[in-house]
Amino acid sequence: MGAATETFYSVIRRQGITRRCFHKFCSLTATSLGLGPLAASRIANALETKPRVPVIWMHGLECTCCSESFIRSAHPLVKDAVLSMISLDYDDTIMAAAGHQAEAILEETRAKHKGQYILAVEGNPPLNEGGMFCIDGGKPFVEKLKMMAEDAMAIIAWGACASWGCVQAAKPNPTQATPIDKVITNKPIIKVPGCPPIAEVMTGVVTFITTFGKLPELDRQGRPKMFYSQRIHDKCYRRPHFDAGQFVEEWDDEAARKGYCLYKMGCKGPTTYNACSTVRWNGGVSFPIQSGHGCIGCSEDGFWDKGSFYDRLTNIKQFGIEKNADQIGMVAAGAVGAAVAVHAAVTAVKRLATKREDADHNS
Amino acid sequence: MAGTRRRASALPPPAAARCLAGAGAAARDHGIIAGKWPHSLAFQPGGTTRAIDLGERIRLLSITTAFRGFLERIVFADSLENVLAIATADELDGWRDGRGGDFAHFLRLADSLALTGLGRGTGPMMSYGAYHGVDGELFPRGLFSQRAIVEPLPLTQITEDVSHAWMRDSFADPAHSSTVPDPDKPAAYSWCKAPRLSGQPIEVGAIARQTVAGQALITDLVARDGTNVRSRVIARLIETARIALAMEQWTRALRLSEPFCDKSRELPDGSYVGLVEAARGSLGHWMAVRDGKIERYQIIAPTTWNFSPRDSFDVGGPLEQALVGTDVGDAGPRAVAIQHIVRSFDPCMACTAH
Amino acid sequence: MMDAVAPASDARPDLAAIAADASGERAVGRPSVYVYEAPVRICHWVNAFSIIVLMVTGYLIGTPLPTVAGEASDNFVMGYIRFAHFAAGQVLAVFFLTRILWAFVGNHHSRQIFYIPFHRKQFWKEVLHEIRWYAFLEREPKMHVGHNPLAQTAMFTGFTLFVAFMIVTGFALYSEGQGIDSWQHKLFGWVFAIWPNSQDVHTWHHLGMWALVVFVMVHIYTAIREDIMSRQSIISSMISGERQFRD
Ligand code: HEM
Ligand code: HEM
Ligand code: SF4
Ligand code: SF4
Repeated sequence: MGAATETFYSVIRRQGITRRCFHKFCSLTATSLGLGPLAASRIANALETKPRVPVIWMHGLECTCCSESFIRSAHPLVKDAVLSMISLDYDDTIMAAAGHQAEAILEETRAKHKGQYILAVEGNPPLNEGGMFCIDGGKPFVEKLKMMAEDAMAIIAWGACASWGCVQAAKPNPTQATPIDKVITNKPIIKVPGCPPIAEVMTGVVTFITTFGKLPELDRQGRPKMFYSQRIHDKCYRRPHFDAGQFVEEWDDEAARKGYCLYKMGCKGPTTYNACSTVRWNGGVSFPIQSGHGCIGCSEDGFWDKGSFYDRLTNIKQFGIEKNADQIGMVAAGAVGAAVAVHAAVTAVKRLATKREDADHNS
Repeated sequence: MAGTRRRASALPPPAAARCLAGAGAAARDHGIIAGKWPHSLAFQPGGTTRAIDLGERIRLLSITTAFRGFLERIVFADSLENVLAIATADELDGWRDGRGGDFAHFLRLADSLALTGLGRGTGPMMSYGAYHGVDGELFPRGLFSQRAIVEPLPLTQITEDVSHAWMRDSFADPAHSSTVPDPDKPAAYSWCKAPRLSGQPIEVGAIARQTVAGQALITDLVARDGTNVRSRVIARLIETARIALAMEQWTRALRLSEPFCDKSRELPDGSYVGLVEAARGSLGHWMAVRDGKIERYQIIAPTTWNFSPRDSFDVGGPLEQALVGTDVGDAGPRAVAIQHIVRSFDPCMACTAH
Repeated sequence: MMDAVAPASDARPDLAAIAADASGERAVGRPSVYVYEAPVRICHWVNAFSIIVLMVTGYLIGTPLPTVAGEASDNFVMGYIRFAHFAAGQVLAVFFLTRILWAFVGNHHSRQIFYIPFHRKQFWKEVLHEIRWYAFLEREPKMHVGHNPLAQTAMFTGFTLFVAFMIVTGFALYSEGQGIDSWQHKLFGWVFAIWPNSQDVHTWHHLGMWALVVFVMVHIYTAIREDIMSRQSIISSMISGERQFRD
């Protein structure tokens, strides 16, 4: 503790990282954030002069995949730098301190860095039964979250859990797991959805916030524009096959070997905003579609509740039985078609009868 | 001890960063095969959606080689073959002296902290068997019994006991039991159920796997001092070396033109059991399918075995037994020794409500 | 206001004189009335054509044709289907807008399909009458110069609302491909505030198609039926604009 008043630059210099290396890192960061060359020197300047930003990383209902992703960020320089850039004062999953010793850090940070620390939240609070479905340090997680949010500068909502609710909020959501922005309404929140988010996206967001002291530009849904403004489909390398009308129809068919489009296997790339098809995963080696499996839309709201991952058309549950739009539509059209036919038949019969009546009448 | 602080402080780097770089390399391997990690999507019942081509095999090989390089330079400071040739505890001591690398450093540290005497376990251990290949399993299935011999695993004897868990009573057989919380249960003190094999608590994990597999060094260590904080860590490292070598072989052995997904693998209605060795130990899934949908699902995870609370005979699980008799000094429950023991089991405590 | 008189059963009434549309406007004593002005008719047929194209291509977007063989660069099947859909979508949008604009300058009938006079009792009475007529409970249909009240209600919901919905959701979906800086996204991006996951927008857009399919089926059926049954021209009116009263 106390390290939070050091600058990032002094920390890495102490670790034997050269000035040249440091500048390389700054320009790399600028590029990865899609910023121009001028930004590199601004980043360098900020890192040399600003004290390191304290970060509190909390875990609600989650599976820790966000942490797993984060610590495997590909570029070693980026990862080292990010971990030195912030002062990760509390992260109950990976910190050495445990028990009361760990909990004391929360109070300390709150008092010492009021309004200056970043609250990074992985997972979300369940609200049912007074929050008792997630007890953390003897208290419902929701209380801990609210307490630490009170004095935070900004909140990062990591992953689909914190951003949207994810699997624990899937219907019928028995614990009433609730995304962060529905619980904390008076603080700037940046959503970094994904199950988990891509490591480079996570480090990119952290770098931006710590260097510029503010949140990056967000889209309508609160996600950083620089990573979430395009769909997987827009930059998918299988897109030419989509446009050509060449699809995988079954696992392990000839088309699968040829790398055809996975649309018919239920690929959610056309409706999913994420950076997988550009940044890719695990050091940029691949991403789900490259592994022959469609995108499941893990960075989208409620992606667990849209029917099978392997169906192109979403199941609609509102109608009692699970059917997709085509099945419902065809039944409706069939019913109306039958009704029209019956109506036409009755009309014809009536008309004949009336005509005969008229004829009788006239004669 | 000089250098320990620098190596072992969790964050920030350099030790952790170096190690994460190694883990990151492994994740890249996984990335190529499965597209993404964590939460890979490419695995399907009956195979994978991923056909590896020639170019990818070469990339996979280069990654596994890089991973091996990381292990040989940083972790072991010796070739993996040499490390795996160490067959006894004495040879290990000889190998350690004067060697660099994290492993030798850990061994010296373990001696100075007397980790061998910490967290002793003498109970049975098991392995469901892992990495099934054409010539059998790399790590075979079996039970290392109280009589210190490897026996066949009586799989039908797996039960769940909830006498001290905040869980409602249900069937003992995981194929029929349920997991329903009961937070007001008087005798309970844990969210973890107590899994038992033939009524006994079982230690699982890398050390169990390597003992059942008859790995020479681990067998010798267990024969001398049972399982303990030191031997559990050693087992994990030895296992890592074995797997790194196996990964190279597997990658070379890939037959690229064969089908990669067996589509005949449908799941007709019925009951299913899936048993694998996960990183932390034996993982079992019990499932029933009806009308093509999952009707019930029950999981016994590795940490549940290790962290099991007492059962109805008041017998504690492996961790509880290992903690008994620990010298905590003045620190009481805050003693570092307790953390050493708990962490030596490599627990996953994120929820542990199974 | 109350001009639509039920035909007396004994005497032959002055048909053209009592023929009135839902707003109660009396058609002057001519056997033929100019109802549908040229822009209305042009819009109708352009829109009808676009909607048919949109339905076929839309269905194929949801359930694509079987895979085509050959190099990806030699084929553009899905591309053409989607292009046709988007082109027809733009055409529909333009002519729908034109149709709305015409409602301001055109004759009284051109405004009918854009509102329902909820507040007028007489209107609902006549709706009821039309329902009874279709349910074979009335022997004689009434005559209307423009839409009969039931048709007006159906047109408003079935056409005006649904097509507007399709255009709005369609452009919102289109904006996803155009990017979040496109004008489409600026104008229609709010749709994603209602359904944050655009998968839902796809689903509603798709359901909207089926609603329109049902509407078109009924629409064409009633058009033909009325043409035969109700003593006033329907089909030819949509071509020539003149409505003839036959008795
Ligand atoms: C009567 C009007 C329309 C009908 C019946 C119709 C029908 C459909 C259908 C059935 C789909 C497939 C939905 C799915 O399951 O993914 C679709 C997709 C789409 N429609 Fe329409 N549509 C109409 C109007 C429009 C308009 C006016 C536009 C705007 C330009 C539009 C743009 C789109 C777009 C962008 C897609 C998604 C294409 C893709 O995912 O590749 N539609 N439409
Ligand atoms: C037998 C063929 C058809 C006849 C006789 C016919 C007749 C009519 C008539 C008389 C109207 C009233 C127009 C108004 O008051 O504005 C109308 C409106 C409409 N019809 Fe049709 N229609 C036919 C086919 C179709 C088809 C195939 C479609 C669509 C696929 C269609 C779509 C519409 C729409 C959208 C309107 C409202 C358009 C407007 O008023 O501009 N119609 N139709
Ligand atoms: S967002 Fe989804 S993904 Fe991340 S911790 Fe959560 S379950 Fe895992
Ligand atoms: S694989 Fe998915 S994301 Fe890629 S082109 Fe096909 S539908 Fe789009």
